[in-house]
Amino acid sequence: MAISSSAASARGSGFLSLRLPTVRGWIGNIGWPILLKELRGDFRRSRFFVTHFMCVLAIAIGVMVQIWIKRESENLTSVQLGRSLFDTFFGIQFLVVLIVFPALTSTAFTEERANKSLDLLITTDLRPGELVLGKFLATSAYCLITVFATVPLLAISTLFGGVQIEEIFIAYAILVGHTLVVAMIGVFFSSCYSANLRSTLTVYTIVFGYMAMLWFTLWDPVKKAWQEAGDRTLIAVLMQRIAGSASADEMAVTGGEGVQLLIGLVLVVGFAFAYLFTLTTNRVRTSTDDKSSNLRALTTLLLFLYLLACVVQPSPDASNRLEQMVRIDSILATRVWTSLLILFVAALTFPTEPLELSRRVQARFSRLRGPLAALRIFAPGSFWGLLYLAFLLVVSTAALLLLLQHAASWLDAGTLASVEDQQRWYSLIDRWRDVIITFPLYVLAFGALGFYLSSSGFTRGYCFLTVFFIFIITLLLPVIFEFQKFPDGIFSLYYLSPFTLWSSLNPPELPDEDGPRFVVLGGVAIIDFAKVFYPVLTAVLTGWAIAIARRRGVPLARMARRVGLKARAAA
Amino acid sequence: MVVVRDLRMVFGETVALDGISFEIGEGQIFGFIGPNGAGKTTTIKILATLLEPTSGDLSIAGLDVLEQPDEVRRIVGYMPDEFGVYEGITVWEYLEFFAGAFRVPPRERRTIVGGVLELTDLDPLQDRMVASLSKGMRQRLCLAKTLIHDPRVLILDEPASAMDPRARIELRALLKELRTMGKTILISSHILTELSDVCDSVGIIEKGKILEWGEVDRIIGRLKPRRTVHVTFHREFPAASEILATHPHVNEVNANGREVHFEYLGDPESFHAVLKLLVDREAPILAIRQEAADLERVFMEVTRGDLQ
Repeated sequence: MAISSSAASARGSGFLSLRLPTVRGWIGNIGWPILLKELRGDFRRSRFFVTHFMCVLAIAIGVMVQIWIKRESENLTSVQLGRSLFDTFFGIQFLVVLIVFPALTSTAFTEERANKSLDLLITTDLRPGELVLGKFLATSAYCLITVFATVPLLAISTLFGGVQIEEIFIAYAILVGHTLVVAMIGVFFSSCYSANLRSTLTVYTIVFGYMAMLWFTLWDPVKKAWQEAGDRTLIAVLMQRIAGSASADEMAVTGGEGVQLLIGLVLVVGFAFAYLFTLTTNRVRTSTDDKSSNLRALTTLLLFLYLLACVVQPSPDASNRLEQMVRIDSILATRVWTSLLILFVAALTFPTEPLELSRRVQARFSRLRGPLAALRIFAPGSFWGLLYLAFLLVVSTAALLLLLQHAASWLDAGTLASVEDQQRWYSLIDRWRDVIITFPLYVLAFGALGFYLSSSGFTRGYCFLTVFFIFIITLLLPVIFEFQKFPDGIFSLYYLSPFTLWSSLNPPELPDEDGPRFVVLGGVAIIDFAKVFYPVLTAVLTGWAIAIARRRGVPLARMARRVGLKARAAA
Repeated sequence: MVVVRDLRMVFGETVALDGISFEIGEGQIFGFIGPNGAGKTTTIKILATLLEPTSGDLSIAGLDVLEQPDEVRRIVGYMPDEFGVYEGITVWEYLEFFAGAFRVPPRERRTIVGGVLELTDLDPLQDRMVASLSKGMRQRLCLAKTLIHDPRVLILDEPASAMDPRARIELRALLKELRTMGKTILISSHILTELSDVCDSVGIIEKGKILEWGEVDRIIGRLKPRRTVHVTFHREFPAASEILATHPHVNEVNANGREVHFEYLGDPESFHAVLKLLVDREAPILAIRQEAADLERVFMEVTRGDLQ
């Protein structure tokens, strides 16, 4: 039996077997083969049934225990019981999503690596995006089955009444949204490691960090509002808070802000999703096919959209000048810190990439000549990554300074009642100017550190983690020094901390023991010291990295124009 | 069909491939031989588009492997030396998945999967779970997967390492059948007898360098390796050792009863002179058997066994 002949006969059979793309064929191009294979394999494992049974059992026990407890309470109406059961159901289901699903999602690619089957997949005709999408859809489907398998349990709570259909939809939207995000995070980290355990632990660290953030930032105000609202479900209280219709307290927002918040949330999650997806596809590509330029394009788009939104920011409304000043301060804080966060993610990601570029990638970018040669900053590799970061920092600084200039025009200092208020307004503008100029330099120094580590031949994961670790350390320095009462001096690293810099710009109104002494270092304001120190540090690290790269014989700015047979033909 | 020129691959301080070159003609079976760590798998991975070489050129069917990896993947079937199979699915589903991954139209998949199963003699096992297959059977399944998109070139890295003797014989027959279908095959193996029977040409690699490459017979002829000759007499012939030792190309003569073994180092064309020496002394020759120089001997002759 000859394959060629069978294939040929199959291709020739029937007039409908044309080469035109079919809907099924198109669907097959978006990860369908992987999805089908994964579902077939996963659903036949006993793990599937055991996991789902245990999850449903946990929720069922929770609901039953709640019924048992509430049965004892007096004066509990049927509606109250229904709402209480709904809250219990949602709470346990939410915990299942965050505690059980990371284990199910974080092995998507590590299993392929452990099984030594990833090379087989890469050498097929599937694009890396299809591989990742297939894995993502498969892990999501695996988890979503648990989410939807609990619908009958939810139905028990609706029997008692008191729960609106909208609340059910919103609850499921939250659960499904979190499931998809956990699945994407799991798939991403599974592409970073070859061992299941490492990937799973990393995903759990991220998810527990998220849970801790929810706990510390949201739980107290939501709980307070929940108790105040009395006979309402948790979902109803959350929605009420977002819609801003509740009484004013620290959680209250206006209706318009609520919509803005939701749109902002969707955009942030959407970008995070796109970012993780692009990162993951690049992790499963071969080095010859490096497309981390896509990630740079995405980051540029995200940052530019955000900066554009910042620059066109309208003046905030306020009942009086002082309140307006506070609101302007708040707007500047949000915009500047968010931009710096995006820039820091870029500093962690791009200059920590491997130093050497594949010849194919070099050839691709060497085609950019003349004015287009500037686009080479989108090329992969740590050297170009650092240049790209510098470009982002320059653009961001310019845009934020524009925003600051814009913000300065929102309030006429002459209209402020007292001289103190006028001084506060001027110092507010000066403070943000210092932050906008100095903190990007701080971020650039981390980019240079990543480039230095990468040129020294460390792995990407090591470079990434080291830069991140040192960033955390610099953040914690004030805490460490404060706790240990370490004497601060001119050589103290304490002054490198962004917290120290920030506190130097916000000296306490009442001088105390720890107040103004951090403002000045050797007679120079430490913010001015930082403006010189960080560029010098960046220059030293970059120069060192370039020297190492040259010693290793790695070309940095030079790119091979041709590759393979074309290069030979040209020669 | 496959052209490799000055291929060089450096991993840090280690030179894995040091300027290797070879060519494989269309419809040929090329055996890639070398000790462990010689650079076989690295070369194969580069050809399979999984690694980018430090320098050098490669083309498969006129396509530049470095410039057009996607196109190359479509015409190459790659079977790695170590691979995993998906245990939770059946043999049929496994092949159907790879057919989908190679964008074989759904309408054609049934025919093609059936054809590949038949070709690899896996059709009786098509409904068996992959988990229940032996290692040899899994290897055969991976080979079937390699054929699923009807590639023009097959790159097989140690395809028979876990197969039993019967399966190996069947693999050789399969390779010959694939050759008749016009496939070009690059196969690496430690089991040289496996290759000598089916290969049109071989490349011997050691420490990242190709020591010899070309047609098997040509290499054997050129290297003129030792041949062991066994002569059996009607009765004991004690003078045999003495007579043979006088010939300049005869070495290591051992007499054992009615039999004499010796190493012949000369040209095959002048072997008759050795026989003439015996016949002239009226040696009662009953039979002469010559152990043909084979790939194993050539390999031992060419390589030094140094580890990299």
